[in-house]
Amino acid sequence: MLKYILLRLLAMIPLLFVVLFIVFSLGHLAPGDPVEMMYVNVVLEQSTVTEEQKQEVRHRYGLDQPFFVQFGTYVQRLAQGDFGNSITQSRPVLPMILKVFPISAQLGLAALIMLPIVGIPLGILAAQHQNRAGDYAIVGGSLFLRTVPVYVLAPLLLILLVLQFHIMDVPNGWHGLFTSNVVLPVFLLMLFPLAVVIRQMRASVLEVLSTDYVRTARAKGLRERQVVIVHIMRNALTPVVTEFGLIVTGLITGSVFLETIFGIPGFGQLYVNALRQRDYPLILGCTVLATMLVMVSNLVVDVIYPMLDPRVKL
Amino acid sequence: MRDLSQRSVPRRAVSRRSLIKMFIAAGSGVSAAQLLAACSSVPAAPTQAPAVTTGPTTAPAPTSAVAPFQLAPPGVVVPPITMPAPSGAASDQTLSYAHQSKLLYLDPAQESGYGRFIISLVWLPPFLLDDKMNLTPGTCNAYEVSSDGLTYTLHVDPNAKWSDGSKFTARDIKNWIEYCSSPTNPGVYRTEARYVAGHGPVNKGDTRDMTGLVASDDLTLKITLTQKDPLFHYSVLANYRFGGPKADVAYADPNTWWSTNPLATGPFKIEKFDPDSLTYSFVPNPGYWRTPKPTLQRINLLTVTDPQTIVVMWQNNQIDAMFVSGSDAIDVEQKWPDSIIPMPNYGGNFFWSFNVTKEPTNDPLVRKALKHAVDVNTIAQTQYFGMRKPAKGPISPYAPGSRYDTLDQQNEFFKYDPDLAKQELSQSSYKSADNLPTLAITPNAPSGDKVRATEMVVEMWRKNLGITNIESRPMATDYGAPTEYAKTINFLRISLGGLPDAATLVYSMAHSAGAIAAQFAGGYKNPAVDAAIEKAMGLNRSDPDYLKSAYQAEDLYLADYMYVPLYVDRYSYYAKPWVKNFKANWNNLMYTLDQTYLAAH
Repeated sequence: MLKYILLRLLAMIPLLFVVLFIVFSLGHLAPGDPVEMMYVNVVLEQSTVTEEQKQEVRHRYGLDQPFFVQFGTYVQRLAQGDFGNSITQSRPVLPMILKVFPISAQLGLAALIMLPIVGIPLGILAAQHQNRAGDYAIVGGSLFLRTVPVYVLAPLLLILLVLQFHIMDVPNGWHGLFTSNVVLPVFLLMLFPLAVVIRQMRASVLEVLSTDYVRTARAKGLRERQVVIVHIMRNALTPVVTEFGLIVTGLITGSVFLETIFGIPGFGQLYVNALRQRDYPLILGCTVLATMLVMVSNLVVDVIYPMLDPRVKL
Repeated sequence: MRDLSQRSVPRRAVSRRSLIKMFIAAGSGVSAAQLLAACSSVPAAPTQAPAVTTGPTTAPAPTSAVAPFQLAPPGVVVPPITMPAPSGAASDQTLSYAHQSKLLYLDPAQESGYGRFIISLVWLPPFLLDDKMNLTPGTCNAYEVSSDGLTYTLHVDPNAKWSDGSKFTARDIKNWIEYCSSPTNPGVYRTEARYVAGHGPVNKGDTRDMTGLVASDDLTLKITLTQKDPLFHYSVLANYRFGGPKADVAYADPNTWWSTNPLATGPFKIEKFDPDSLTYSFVPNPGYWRTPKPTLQRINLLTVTDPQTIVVMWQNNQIDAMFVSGSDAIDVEQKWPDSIIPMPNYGGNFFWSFNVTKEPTNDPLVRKALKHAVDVNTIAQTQYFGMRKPAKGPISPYAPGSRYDTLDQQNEFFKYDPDLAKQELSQSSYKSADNLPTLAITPNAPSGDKVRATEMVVEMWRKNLGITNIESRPMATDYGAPTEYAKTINFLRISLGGLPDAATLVYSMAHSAGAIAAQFAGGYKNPAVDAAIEKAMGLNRSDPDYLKSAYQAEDLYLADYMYVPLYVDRYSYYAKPWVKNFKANWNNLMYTLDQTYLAAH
């Protein structure tokens, strides 16, 4: 197991390198550069920006170097823990990311904790009521919630909960995880993957129900609760756990709409703004983190899998 | 727990009937989602491009601009406005103000946008503007101008001090102007003081001392110019950029000094400024040396980027004041007209610029045809529900001497005449729409109103001229860097704002050295236009020849058919009725914030 984990960790390095190269290339191939982006609005304020000023900024950030020199310099500094300076904000990238990442991580993890609490029982319930009203209601409802984009659902919920029913104020900003401000964002964040979890759980349970060992367990006289928890759930959870590994990255990095709607200073917003402004160091820094997150979460899933299914060997 | 083995229906493959039921359930879910989305009652701009019409809408008539005014002549400083004393004030004097943009810095040297609401009340410039464009005392009480217009003498208020109690002196003003002009300033506004003698070497970084700024004593600053600037009192003396911290603080840490609790000179100081957590708050400066002292105990700045969220917060009274712009502002003004607090005379012309170096818009007859084929009034009315005036010439309706109400009667440029347009196209070098190369255009904005307006232009070209060969990209930067615009874009939507001064506005749009002519118009240059503008810029605004020259420049520029007008924007703040004594000036400053208070509600 340890050897497997070490090999996987080592394999992350070339993979990270490839991802960085692709993102770096795409950034440089896209039209415009960050210096031009910085000054395009300034020009409209009738202030003069000379080419010398722009070149000075480009030189400061190494943007006047050849492509491979820029990339090589970046990788070399990255290996030493230097993520570079943001071009638009003129300050180190790593502290900027470290300041916002925990916020998105807390939101994502809160949604991740709620997902199985809500999704697994609903999946089991749907399987119990297969092809009946309960099944349709659960599956149809989750599909409906997945279909409605969050930037439609969120304002609708705000109107209902804030203006119509006066249940709450509009949550805005980040005041910590254990505040009422996070209830709605976390709820909305988990809605999209919830349908996946419910359907996966439902399918898994239905498959396991028809197996011999479940029939044997019942024949042995085990209580139904024992049959469900020890035999059915444990086997049905295996594919669902795999799903969680794929979901977790999206929960942490993909909440940009929610962060915009609720004014949460999270990782998604930082990433999107960096892309808009062509802030190359910030884009790359965010990419490093997102890539590491995907790789580590997949590693964790792969390590947990054999614990759930002893037939699987690492 | 229910025994899952006791299901009455044996497990089998999904039946056709149940499959159909599932699809119906899924389809109903999708349809309901669509219906809910369409029925969203949050105020929003219309999502459908309206049909082209020629009739006016039934929207309320546009609020008229501030009555014509004159820019203050040099040397005149008026007392600051005195607002009514607080009456029935709420116990909690915390003002919640929201806007849609993340503030990355609060640096007067770099400031160009959303920080302007308060920046001059944290660091007073030499003078502040009131809502009538008069200069009122800032750190200085008065100034004189020599008869040749080349020497300005500023008199610092002897009571002026920093928030730690130390004296504010003329040298502080000198040092800050020098910092703003130096390469250490991370912003780009380093040439505002370009007419001050000695600016060049400071701007290059050769020295920190600007020879044209002499602090003859603690209370007197003498400014010597290399050439006369009739608007120097606006461009420098009352410019919010020239109120700043002690320059040493900025030299030491140009990128984050404002987040380190720097000293202030105004009625407020920064309590917290953290863009990473979007936490911004301001509190009264206990060392403020003028009266009245602020009644407000705190100003919380909320960053609410989503327009629908900000409106729901507004309706839920979570916000006392806010700033929104564009089509969001139109929505708010339609629903809550009493909340409007205008920024007098701060308005921009929005228009599309032609490129004079790229085919086919390098042909003047093509430009004429494209302009005459567009019904500007209909576009402005349709997109802005009659709440915004259609744009006309470079001199906006907010500038003294504007000919806005009569300009279109005097000039063929403003005609909407499809027949004339067809004739002009047939007389051009291309003869017909079929021979035109692809027109590359851009609304240059993600906002729906600008995109729809551009779509209307395209439709009018198609309908009136038969032009269909058009490439459109959402943003100008999608075509490349601004230095590439001249090679790639024929028709580009931009805006023109600035000091409400006729010559300045014409300069910005039409002078060959201005950014719009040089970049967005592909290098437009008309020596006669340049000469008329330069003549106007050098004259005192009370000189009768001043407006003559400005009008001449405008007329010559119109004759070149360089743009298609869109609308004139008007910026405002929006405040709840319990926010009292709240006024804004042209610089976007809430300039009576030191007297603002919240009534009990």
